[in-house]
Amino acid sequence: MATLELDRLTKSFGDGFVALDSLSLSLASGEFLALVGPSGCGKSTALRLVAGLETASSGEVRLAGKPLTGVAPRDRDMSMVFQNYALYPQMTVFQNIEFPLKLRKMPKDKRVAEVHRVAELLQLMTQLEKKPAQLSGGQRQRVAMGRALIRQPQLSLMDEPLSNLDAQLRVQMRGDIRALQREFRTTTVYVTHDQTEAMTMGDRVAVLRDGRLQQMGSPEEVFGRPKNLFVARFIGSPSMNLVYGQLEQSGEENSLRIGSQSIKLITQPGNQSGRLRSHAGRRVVVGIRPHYLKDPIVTPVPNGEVIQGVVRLRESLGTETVLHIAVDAERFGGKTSSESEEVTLANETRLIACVDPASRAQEGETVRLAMEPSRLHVFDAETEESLL
Amino acid sequence: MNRRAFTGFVLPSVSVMTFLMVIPLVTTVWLSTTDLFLRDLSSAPFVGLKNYREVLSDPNFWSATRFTLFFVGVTVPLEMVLGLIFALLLDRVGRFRSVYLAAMLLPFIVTPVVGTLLFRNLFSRGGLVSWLIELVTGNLFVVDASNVRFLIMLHAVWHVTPFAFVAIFAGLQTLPQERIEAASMDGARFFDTFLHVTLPHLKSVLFFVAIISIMDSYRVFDSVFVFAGNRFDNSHTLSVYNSVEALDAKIGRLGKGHAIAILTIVGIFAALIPFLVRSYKEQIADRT
Repeated sequence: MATLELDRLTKSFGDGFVALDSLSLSLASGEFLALVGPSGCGKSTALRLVAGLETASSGEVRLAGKPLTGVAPRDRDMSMVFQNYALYPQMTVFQNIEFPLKLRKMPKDKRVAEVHRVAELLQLMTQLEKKPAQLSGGQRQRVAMGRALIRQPQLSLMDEPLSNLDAQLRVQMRGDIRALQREFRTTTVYVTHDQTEAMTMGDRVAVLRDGRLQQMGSPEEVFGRPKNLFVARFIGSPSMNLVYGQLEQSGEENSLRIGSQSIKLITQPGNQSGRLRSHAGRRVVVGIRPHYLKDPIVTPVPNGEVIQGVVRLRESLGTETVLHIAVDAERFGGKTSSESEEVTLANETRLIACVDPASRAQEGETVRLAMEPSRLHVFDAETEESLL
Repeated sequence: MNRRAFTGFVLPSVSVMTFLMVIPLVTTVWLSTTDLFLRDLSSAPFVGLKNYREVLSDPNFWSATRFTLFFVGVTVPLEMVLGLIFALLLDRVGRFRSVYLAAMLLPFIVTPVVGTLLFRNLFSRGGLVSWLIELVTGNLFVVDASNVRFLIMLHAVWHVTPFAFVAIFAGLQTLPQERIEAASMDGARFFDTFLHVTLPHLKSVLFFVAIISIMDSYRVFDSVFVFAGNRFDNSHTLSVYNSVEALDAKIGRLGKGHAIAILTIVGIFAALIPFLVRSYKEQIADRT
C-alpha cells in the first residue's frame, strides 16, 4: 500500500536495442494499473525493472517516495506473480505459500494461521498437502497468488498471470484477482497483452508500444479518446474501422469526405478544433468503432450521419450481428496493421459493423449505416496523432 | 501388443544382453568353482567353494576391500561437492563459458592411463609437484607406502570431478530462471535459493552422479596399478588385487580371480542398495 513512481525509466542493451524508453508514470496508493501492449513492447521489461530483477540503464523507481536504485529485489517489499507461476515443485502447497514468511523468520504458529487465512480466501484449504504437479492450472495460479498475497507487500506485480489458463477460467480469475486486490488495497502493476484483460481489470490502463508509453488513463478514456492510431486500433474488440478521408471546411462546419460520400463532423465546443482547422483540405484517417455503426431501420439514430456500402458478409452472433460492408474508400493499413485479414484478402475496403440482430441486411445488398458524428475519430495521416 | 510383436521388439536387446552379460556372468560363476591356472588352461577341475573360502580368509582381500570402501567413501563425496561448486561457479560466468567448460573437462577426456602417467610424473623425482614440495618443506619427496593412497585418491578426484561437474552443470541449465527470481522476490538470500530452489532441482542429477561414481570408484584399477603396481600392497583395491592374483605370471590363479570378481560384483550391489531402494520408492511415489 504505497505510491509508485517511475521516473524516465529506460532500459537499453549493448547492441543499441531500447526495450524501454523513458517511461514515466505514477500510481496512487491502492491503485491497479494494467500495463498493456503487443509482445515486445517493453511491458515485461518495465515490470522487471520495478521488481529489481533487471537494472535500469537510466531513470528511477520510487516506492512510497523512496528511490529503489541499488536495492535488491528481496529488500523491495514487493511480490510478483509469474506467468508460469514459478512454484517450488518439491514443496507442498502449504510450504509454497508459507515460504516468504519462513524466510522472514515468522514464528511457526503465526505462519500456520496466516497460510490458513490465505488458503481459505483462495479456496485452497483442501489442497494444502498436495504438490504443485498434482494441481490444475487454475489451482497453481491461485497458489502463486497466495504466495504473493501472504506477506501483504507494499506493491504487487503480476506478469501475465492468466495467459496460461483457458478462456473460461481466465474470465473468472480476472474477477477474483480484482476482488482480492480491492480487499487488500495493494498497489498493483498488472502486465498483459490482452486488451480485454487490461480494460476490465485496470483502474487505469497504460498502453505501451516499442518501449514508449502511448497513452495512460482510465479504461473509458483510453477507449473513448485514443491519443493516436495505435491506441485506437489496439484497444477495443473488434478493433476500430479506419479509412482515409479528406477534411473539408465551410464556415463553422467541418465535414469528412470518405470516398464518394461525405459526412458532417460535429465537434464539441472547446474541443481542439484548432488542430482540425489546420488540417482543412488535408488527408486524414477517420475512425469509427464497429458498435457505433447501426442499422437505422432497427436502431434509429437521431441527427445521425449515414454511410453507404454493400454487405459482403453477415455473421450472426446471437446478441448482435456482424456485417462486413464494402465501401468506396481507401483503407488505412499503416504500420500498426495486424488484423482485418479478410480486408487484405478482398482487396477492397470493408467496414465492420456490429448491429442489432433484428437487422435484415442481407449479403449482396446495399445498406445505409448510421452513426452519431460525435463517435467519429480523426487522426493525422502522417503523425497518426488524434486531431480531436 | 500381441505376443509376436512383443517378442520382435524385445528379442534384439535380450540376445545382446545374453551374449554380453548373462553368458560371461554364468561362465564366471562356473570358473570361480574350478581350480583353473593361467599356465594350463586345458583343465579346470571342479573344487566347489574352495576358492571362496580361500579369498575370504586372505588378509590381502580384506585389505583391498577396506581400501576400496575407504576410496569410495572419500572420493565420491569429494567429487560431487567439487563438481557442484565448479558447476555453480561456471553458471555465473557469461564470457568464455565454453573455454572454461573445455578446460574443466580435460582430465576426464584424456585416456585414463595417459592421465595417470601425467599425474604420476608430477609427483615423481624431478616432477613439478615434488619439486615444489621440496622447495617449500625442504624435505625430499618420494612416493611411498605412506602417501601413495593419498595420491591415488587425489588423482581420482582430479579425474572424476569433471564428470560430476558436467552432469550437474547440465542439470543447472534446466533450472527455470523464473523460479530463482520468484525466490528472490519472496525474500530469499543466496543460500536460501541454493537450499530451496537449486538443490531440490538437482536432486535427481546428484542421485545419478552418485550411482555412477560409486560403481566407477568401486572398480578403480588403472591409477592404482600405475601408482602402486606391485610395490604397495596396502593401496591395492579389489580390482588390482584381483588382477595380481589372477594374472601374476608366478601364481596366475584364474579360478580364484573369478571368485574375487563375483565377490566384487556382490559388493557393488551391496553398496548401491540404499540408492536402488530410494529410486524404487520414488518411482512408486511418482506413479500414485
